[in-house]
Amino acid sequence: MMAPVRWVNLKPNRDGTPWYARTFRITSIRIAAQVFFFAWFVFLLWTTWFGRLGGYPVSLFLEVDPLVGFATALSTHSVYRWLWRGLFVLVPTLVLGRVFCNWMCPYGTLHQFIGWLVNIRANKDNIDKNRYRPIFQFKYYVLAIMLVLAAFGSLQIGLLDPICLLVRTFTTTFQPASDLAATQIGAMMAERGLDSRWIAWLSSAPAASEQRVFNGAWFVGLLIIGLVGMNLVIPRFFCRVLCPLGAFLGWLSRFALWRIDRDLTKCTDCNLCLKHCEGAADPQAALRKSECFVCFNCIDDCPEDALSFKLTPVPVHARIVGKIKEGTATLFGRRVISKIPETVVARPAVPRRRWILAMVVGVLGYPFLRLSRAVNTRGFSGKCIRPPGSVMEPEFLERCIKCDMCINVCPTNVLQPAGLAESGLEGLWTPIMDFSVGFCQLNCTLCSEVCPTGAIQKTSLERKLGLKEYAEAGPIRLGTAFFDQGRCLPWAMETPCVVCEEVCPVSPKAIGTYDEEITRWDGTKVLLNKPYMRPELCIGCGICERECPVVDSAAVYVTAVGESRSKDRSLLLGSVQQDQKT
Amino acid sequence: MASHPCEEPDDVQARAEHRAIERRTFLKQAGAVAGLAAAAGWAALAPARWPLSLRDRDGERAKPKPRTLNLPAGGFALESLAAAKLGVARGTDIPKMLRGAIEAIGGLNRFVRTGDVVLVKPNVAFERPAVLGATTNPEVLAALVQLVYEAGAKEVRVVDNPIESPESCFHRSGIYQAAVDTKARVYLPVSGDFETLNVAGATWIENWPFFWRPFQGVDKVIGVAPVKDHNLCRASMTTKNWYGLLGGRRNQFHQDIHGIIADLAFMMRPTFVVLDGTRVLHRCGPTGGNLSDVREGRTIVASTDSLAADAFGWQDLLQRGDEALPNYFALAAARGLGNPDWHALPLREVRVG
Amino acid sequence: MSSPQKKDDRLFVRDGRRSYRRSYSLTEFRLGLGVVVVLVLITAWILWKGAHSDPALFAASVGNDAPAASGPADRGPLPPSLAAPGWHERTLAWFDATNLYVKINGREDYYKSFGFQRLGFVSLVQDADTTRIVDVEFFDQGSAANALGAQSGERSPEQGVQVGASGFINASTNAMFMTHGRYYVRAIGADTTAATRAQLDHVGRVLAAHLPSEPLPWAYALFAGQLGIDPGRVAFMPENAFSFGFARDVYAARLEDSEIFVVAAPTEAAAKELAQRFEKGFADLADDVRTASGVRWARDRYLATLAGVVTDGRWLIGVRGAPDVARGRAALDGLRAGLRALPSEVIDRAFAKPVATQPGPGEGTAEAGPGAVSGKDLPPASEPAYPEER
Repeated sequence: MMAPVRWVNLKPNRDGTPWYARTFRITSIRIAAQVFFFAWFVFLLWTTWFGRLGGYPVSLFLEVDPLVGFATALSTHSVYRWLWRGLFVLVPTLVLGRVFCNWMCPYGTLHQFIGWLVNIRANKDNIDKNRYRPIFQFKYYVLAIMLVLAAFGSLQIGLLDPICLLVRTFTTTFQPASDLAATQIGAMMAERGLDSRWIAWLSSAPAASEQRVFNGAWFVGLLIIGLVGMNLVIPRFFCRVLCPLGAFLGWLSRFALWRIDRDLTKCTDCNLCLKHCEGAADPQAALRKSECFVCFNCIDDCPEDALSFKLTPVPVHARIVGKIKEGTATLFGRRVISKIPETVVARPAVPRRRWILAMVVGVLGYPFLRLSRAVNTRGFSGKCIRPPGSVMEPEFLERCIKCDMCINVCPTNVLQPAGLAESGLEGLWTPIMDFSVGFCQLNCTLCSEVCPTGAIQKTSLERKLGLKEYAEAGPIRLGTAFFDQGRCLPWAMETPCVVCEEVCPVSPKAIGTYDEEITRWDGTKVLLNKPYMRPELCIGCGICERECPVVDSAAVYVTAVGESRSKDRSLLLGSVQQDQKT
Repeated sequence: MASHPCEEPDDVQARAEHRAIERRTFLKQAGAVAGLAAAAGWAALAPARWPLSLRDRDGERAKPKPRTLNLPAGGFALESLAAAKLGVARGTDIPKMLRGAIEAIGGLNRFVRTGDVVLVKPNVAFERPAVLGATTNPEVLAALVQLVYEAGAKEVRVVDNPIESPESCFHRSGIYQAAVDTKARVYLPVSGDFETLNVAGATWIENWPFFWRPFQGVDKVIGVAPVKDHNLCRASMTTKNWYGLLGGRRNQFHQDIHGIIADLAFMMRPTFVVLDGTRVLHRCGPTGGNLSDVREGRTIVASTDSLAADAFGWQDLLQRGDEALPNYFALAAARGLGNPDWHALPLREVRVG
Repeated sequence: MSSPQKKDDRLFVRDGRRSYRRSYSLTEFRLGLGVVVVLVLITAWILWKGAHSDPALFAASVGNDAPAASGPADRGPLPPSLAAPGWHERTLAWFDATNLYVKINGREDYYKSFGFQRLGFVSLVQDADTTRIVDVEFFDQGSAANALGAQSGERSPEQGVQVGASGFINASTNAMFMTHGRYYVRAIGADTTAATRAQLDHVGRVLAAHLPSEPLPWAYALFAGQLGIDPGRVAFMPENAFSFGFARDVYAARLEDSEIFVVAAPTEAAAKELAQRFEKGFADLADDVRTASGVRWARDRYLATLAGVVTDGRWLIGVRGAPDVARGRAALDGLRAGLRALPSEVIDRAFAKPVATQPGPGEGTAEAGPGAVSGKDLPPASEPAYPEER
């Protein structure tokens, strides 16, 4: 049958070059780079936990994502903190083309890997699947709509940006799943007397007191399965059809100095280069620079060596002498074999009118989204409680890329991705606090540290707690707690309880009690400590709601009113912070 | 069967073979069908106690069983309290003293077998340096761990749930370093490590959060507690030491501290206990703070009877003489958890160096 | 046959890593190497960043103080720093009555019985040797008398009390216990080295200079200063002393068997009238009243001990629980002598109008009541503060 294949063939190649020129050719290096960046991506997410954080740049991938930097620059007119690192991807793209998509992007790697794994097509089908289709224009519409929205002040790129999407997916689905696996396997191991530390690496939230849960994880999971599953239909479906970052880099690729060039005198139009073309960039005809992922698979597949990666190759169409159809064409003296004279298409194939249509949709989109009730001062949802250090809501929506890094790092699991109820479609998957799940730990400012765009400004502990130089401004308030006296045990049920007052972490406490001794219905005497709020002291940390024993719907609950970041949502006169931007 | 004019005599044979083949296929399939049907029928209908039967007539079988955790019946004690002895070692060379005291109650090999997982429970309750006498002497702990490993234990676990930050308490008291140096494994408590323990018959702690994780797979438990004055219960020694295995809101315990200590003795029957009398915090306990509150005791006591060891410590090390024992002694003795009259136990005293 | 089916069932793709190109290039190989070098550099950078964390991020979440205890941490009445030169402070944490047990479990009730308000805890670490640590426990006990009482309960009997500016200091080889007004401070070191003692000394001096002076109640000059009674045994009962509704502003000291007390009345006549009321009050509880040595002694019907009062000018002095007349008389005489020996300044303050004071919650409070004195009225302190090392 087949001769036994060795892993590495150490004989020199047929053209005389040594064996390592083949084994370590550029596609091998590319695969190594993909594995490298994917591994770092997973590692940086795994290390986003207070016990492991150290000084690791955990939001690095989001920071080098040039679309994040560009879109936030459009919406906020500034480049926050580390977002200048987007230049590390921007400049190579301008020089080499869409290298990011196939060398660095972890989402692209995921799609490519799954697609490769489940590929059962024969060569002919592969070739057909990798031809360019008009639907690939769609990502440019998505990009245009989102950039226009950003210019108006509603940042929505996070919905489909691949890095944001993948970080969000890991945070809400894969990591809790691996935590669950680690807990269960660890318990089984401990019961059998094995050392359960061996499995601790599997958990991304070790020593968390409870299994982490996230709102709407089912939808995010469905989305990832759907998008990755679409690779069965169209290879690299997301990258080719939906990815706004790909569209952005594709549009910039028109300036790229290097590109894949097809030698007309060698190309036999066999179309084998399409077999594994990742970008569906038509290398067999006019290369679409905006679609080419610089994966170099075509070079590997071409049996005639007709393809190469050239520095600003001169367009040769005009230099052909003779007629191709008659077979008399020559190019610089050599006979032209290929029947297709075009070699390059620089721009994305999006007609101008369609660009304008997309932009109009973007312009309309802004008022459609913003004028929904959820994000305005009138009728805003009290459950939209943002993390400490967040900027005011309109600015927040200009900055939040829904990456969910803050949700990932939060040690108490209080941060949750918002559904449609808390801040509308505009705020989908932005972080809000759900105090039935956790509470905001007093001495923690980790969310502000990992936010790449400054939706949650980097906040020192002194600023959060109102210490030292911030003593006059006071602590950051997330909201105010309210009592539902009809559900409170001492108020409505003759039952002593004072848990909320005990756990209130501020000093002096924001919960006081009216102490009253009563005779219960059964004749016993009890001392009831009936709690009341001191709104000028409450910082809205939510530990009272979390610890309240009425767990189905707590008798003390926090709402966003009174939050210090927002003038419109203050509760008490004079409680507005003077210096919010410090 | 009437033969068709087109048929040849060979066809009969072919047909017979064909039918044979059909029969074989039929038999195979029928066998599979019968087997599957029988299996399904068995699982559904065979009486519940029979192997591989899944029958559940009244729904009881499928009900989730609530998980109650219990310590092994009889605890980790190997011999009955009636056979308890007291081993007292006096001197200043701690490893020799410890060896002497344990030899005096029968030797470590009597209690620890090769391959055992042994849990050692020191007192690391406070963030105080060892000289202040509020925690177990790290040298005593180190010597104990070494002895246990010599006896062939597979793993030694050093466990305590301090009230303050566990890391700081373990480090400041020197216990962490002592454990690391002797290759014992320290278990620092984390919220997920606690499970509700059922102690049937206890007054206050019948169901209470217990530091469960390090107890999984443990064969032997050894307590090693310092001798301390205590302003609430008047003395804190080996019986009160088990307080550090509980979680939850322990500050409620002061409402009936003597009842609680009796419950602790009821909850935990150790393999044996070591009373660390190298330093004695004879006043201002349990936190102390003044070096003048600490006196050199130069004694190590070992016994399988915690009450006897504590009573000895009360009289001899805290030098309370004829003062009445704290209430918890009587409460625990009434439940048969030990003999506070240590004179009644065979005592061997060893003088070392 | 079955091979097309086999092809569809295979798990992995057919081609694998085959390449069909004709020529390879060493330049390509070298560029690839260059890329690998860049990847290695990225790795090194990330690992380097990981090892160098931002200290401010974790300063508060890890440490030796209970996380839920401290609210927005202020220093309260503490000075900006307690650390001596060559030492530094760790984080200051405050504890109140609800979470005191976290720090002082097993002994919390003791402090609570002395009117505990809050505890500030901070560790001082020597720069040169970070294993040398002095723990400072700063108790706000609500009133000077409570602070003094708490200290006396923890003092070793053999150690005397040195009188400081506004309270008492007693020091041991490794620790320093002092009161200053309503505050009781314990500074505990682990060893007896000179460096530790220097830091302990520093803490004492800094606090004495920085804390608000609260004058000791005048009765301490009498009981502790003149009569040598342990200050911890002195109590002040602002009203309802001994369950007598008329008895206000009574200072009492518990001796081994009896209790002596004194009241500073505004005038002699008032003193006499108060004495009569006391006599009547004691008589109500007595089964036998006799006069001896000029004093009406009432014998308690349950305890069979004697109680009696006498006036001396504007002073009212009395004794309760005396076993017999002789000892009762001796106690009264001792009190009288002590009062007469008081400096006039103290006496003036004793009879001064009561100053408006903050009510101190807790039992037995003795605020800066009428006629408070400062520490200088007490016998002078003996130097040095630390006993000789054995």
